[in-house]
Amino acid sequence: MGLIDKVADLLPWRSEHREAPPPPPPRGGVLSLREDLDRWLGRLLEEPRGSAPGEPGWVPAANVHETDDELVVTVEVPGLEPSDLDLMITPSGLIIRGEKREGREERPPGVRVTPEGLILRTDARNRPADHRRDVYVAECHYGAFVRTVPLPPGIDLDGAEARVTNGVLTVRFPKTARRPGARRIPIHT
Amino acid sequence: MATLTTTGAPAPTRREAGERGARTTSPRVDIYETEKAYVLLADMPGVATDGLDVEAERNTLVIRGRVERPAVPPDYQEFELADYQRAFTLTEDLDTEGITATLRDGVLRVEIPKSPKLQPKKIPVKTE
Repeated sequence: MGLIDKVADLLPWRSEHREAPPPPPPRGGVLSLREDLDRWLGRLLEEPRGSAPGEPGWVPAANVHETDDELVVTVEVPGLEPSDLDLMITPSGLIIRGEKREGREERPPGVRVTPEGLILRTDARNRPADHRRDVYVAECHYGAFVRTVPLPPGIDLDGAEARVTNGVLTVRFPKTARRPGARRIPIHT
Repeated sequence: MATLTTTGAPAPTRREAGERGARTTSPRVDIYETEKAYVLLADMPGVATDGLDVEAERNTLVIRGRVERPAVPPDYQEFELADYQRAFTLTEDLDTEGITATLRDGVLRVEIPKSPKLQPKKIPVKTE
């Protein structure tokens, strides 16, 4: 089973397919490395996410554009800065890891009067000013995510360039002149 | 009691909006209350400050965001680059004059202050 299939099987909304995988037989070399990676990814995906209760984990949506010169991957990551994102190119494609945090600001300690009475805020030092007293609508996704985008052959992985603008991650891969290792096979008559 | 409510159906995801071929899509929002204000957060990836429009007229708050569409549609598509639009109903005890809006990294934050009489009073603590 390929890595992508395995990852897909572990996604929360496909949990009906989820079964404990049998322990892999000991093997060496590349296969063992791949299985390690599979297990590592599986663990990441099984960890609880910070999304709203009852919702599956957050997986941001991606688009892929292909032009004559480049392949462009765009991912919707509202609220994320470059430091919240980690990009990796692996044999299975582009792996995007990130986390969206809720805003936090500190407020000074003090005493305040509310309709309910006098409240001494001893815990005020640690409470963010933006403390969500009552939440009415919670549709936005928060927490960590992992997103894999498979990459086609024929692109220059070393020439990749990434930037985040207005909550959209754009990763550009220049195309190589021709597909590596591609060879026409003559047909004998 | 002051309230801030959304109108219409819950926000479809951008993917759903794309499948329906909608011209605009409803952004995902969070609405919560702090001591002094109601806060609305809207995920609007792809919107720059000059493409943003926040309007409060009487008891309605409308947020709109324009996104730049690529010349050619994507080869593989999960989200539609459609403009955002969503309306909210405000009650009269909210201070529409004091509304502030900021956009950062594709997240719009609108803060609607409660009218002063609803806000808790703060007493500064002095040391003797």
